[in-house]
Amino acid sequence: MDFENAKAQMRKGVLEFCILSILSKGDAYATDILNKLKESQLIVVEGTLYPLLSRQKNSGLLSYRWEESTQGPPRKYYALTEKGSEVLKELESSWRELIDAVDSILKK
Amino acid sequence: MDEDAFHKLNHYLESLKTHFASEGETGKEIMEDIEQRIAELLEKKITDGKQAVSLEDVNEAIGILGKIEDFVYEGTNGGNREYEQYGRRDSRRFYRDEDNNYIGGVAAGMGAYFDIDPLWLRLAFIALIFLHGLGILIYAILWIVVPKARTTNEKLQMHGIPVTLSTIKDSVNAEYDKVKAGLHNINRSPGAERTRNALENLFRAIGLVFVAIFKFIIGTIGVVFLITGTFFLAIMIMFLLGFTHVFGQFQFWDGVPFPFMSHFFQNSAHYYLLVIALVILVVIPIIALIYGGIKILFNIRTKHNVLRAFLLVTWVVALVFFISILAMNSTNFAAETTGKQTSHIEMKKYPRLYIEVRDNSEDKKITQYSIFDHEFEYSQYDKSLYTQPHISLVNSEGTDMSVTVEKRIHNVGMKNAQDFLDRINYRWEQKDSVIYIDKYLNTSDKNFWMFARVDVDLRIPENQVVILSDGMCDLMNFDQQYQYCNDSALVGKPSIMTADGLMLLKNQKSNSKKNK
Repeated sequence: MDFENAKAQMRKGVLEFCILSILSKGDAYATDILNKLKESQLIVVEGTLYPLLSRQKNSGLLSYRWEESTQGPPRKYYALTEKGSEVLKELESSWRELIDAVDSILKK
Repeated sequence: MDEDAFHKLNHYLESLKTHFASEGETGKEIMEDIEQRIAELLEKKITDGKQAVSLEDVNEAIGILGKIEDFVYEGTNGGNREYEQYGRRDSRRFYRDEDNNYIGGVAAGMGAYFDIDPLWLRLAFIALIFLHGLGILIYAILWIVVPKARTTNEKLQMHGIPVTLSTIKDSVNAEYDKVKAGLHNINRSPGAERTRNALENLFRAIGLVFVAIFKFIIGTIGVVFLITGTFFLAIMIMFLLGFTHVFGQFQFWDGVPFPFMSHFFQNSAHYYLLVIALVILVVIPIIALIYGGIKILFNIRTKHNVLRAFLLVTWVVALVFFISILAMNSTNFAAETTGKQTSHIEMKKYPRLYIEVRDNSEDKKITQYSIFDHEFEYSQYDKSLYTQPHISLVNSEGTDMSVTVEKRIHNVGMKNAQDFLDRINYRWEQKDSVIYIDKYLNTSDKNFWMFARVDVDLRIPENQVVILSDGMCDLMNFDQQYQYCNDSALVGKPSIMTADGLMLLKNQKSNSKKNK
């Protein structure tokens, strides 16, 4: 059970990082983000994404606006805020550090 | 959208809503996003050829979005803490525990619900089997009615938190807080400030009372449903199987089978179909009562739509069968009929005629019953009904001597009464100067409904000397009993038939002397 929890925590951290990096390449609405995450097999069920998005929005990393869609109802487009970009940069550097550190341990 | 698809989707959204409710505004926002995504997914399913959203589509959409448990596993809200909140937010529910089952997980689930070792419950079920199989019946009903704990959430609800005084208080306080929050919004003005404390106390008291009353009423309804349902079911089973001795006060039914009127049906298949239809007609509402009671008592909110529809259809079919079979056989019924069969036999004459009563019940253990004005006795040994005949001694107003036995049956709803008269057994015989008369007419207990009656007329010519035996007194009508069996008892003494009926031989002689 503890092991499951560690795995879940790990994935959760990575997921938040990935959402920020997807948005750094341009504004997107939820389905865009989902498709990209699914391509890389980072999430299994879509429901996971929505709580993360609102959490990040609440902590000021993201903002959103409504945009008319050619098909169906208006869509909620998410964009990275300034604070979001800063956090992303921090995360990126710590991610590289982390990978190097883990790699160096694994390779030994 | 198909109805089942709609229910499924609704259920899914509700489960998400309760999950995110703890997060307030954010939760609402998350829900909006998820709802929008579902709408998007389902929209794709609608094509020109297919206008409605099916259950399959909904299942697929739910599969893509994932269930709450999957959310939690993927760690969005941080692991196991979430589970604990579930246990606290929802009260404990009764589920079947198929992880720890022996048969259907009923005892295991019940053990979790009541915090008892399931072993004791299993033993209790086994013990109840010896009570006419009641254990099997209860187990089967619970197995059908109580849902299986499928999701992690349901498994946690199954154990819940122990229901103690303090937890009940907690839930009441939580309700109260909601009401208080509402009141605060209304009473924002400073003038209301002073009265607020008093009001709070008042509302708190009222709230507590209402919660208590509500729980009590709901619980009582559940118990009443359960008890009446079980009661009717028990009576039903007893009537069918003849376990009637359980209810001592219903002595009438003791051993006498339920008087199904199989005789009205030319075709026995008709009769059995009718009985089966009748049983279904009665049993299904009883099951519904028990089911409703259990649902209320254990706070079960599942809907067994298929089961419900099945029972309803079965009931209606049974009703149709019942009515049509009755209609088909209606020609065999009549409002009220009586049948009469008379046999008249001449007897040999002797100077002195002895009339003896023979006890043809052969001292079998006999229980007495009385229905309306009809009295009969029942013997469990030969499953027969015994009824006393009505005997009268009459002046034949001639020289011949005869016995007339008249069998009569009387019943409402029977048309072909004549056909049944032969089912009544009654015998008498003459051996030299002795006439033996049966003390009882007898008929199988199956013919209980005939209300059989036998009248015996002993026609005796004037001046014939007769000696009545003791037993005759019981069988004679009231007038003759008074006349022949009281003070100046004729019984055991020679008596003579006169124009006024029987008289003691001596008295008759003195009377006739006086007359001369």
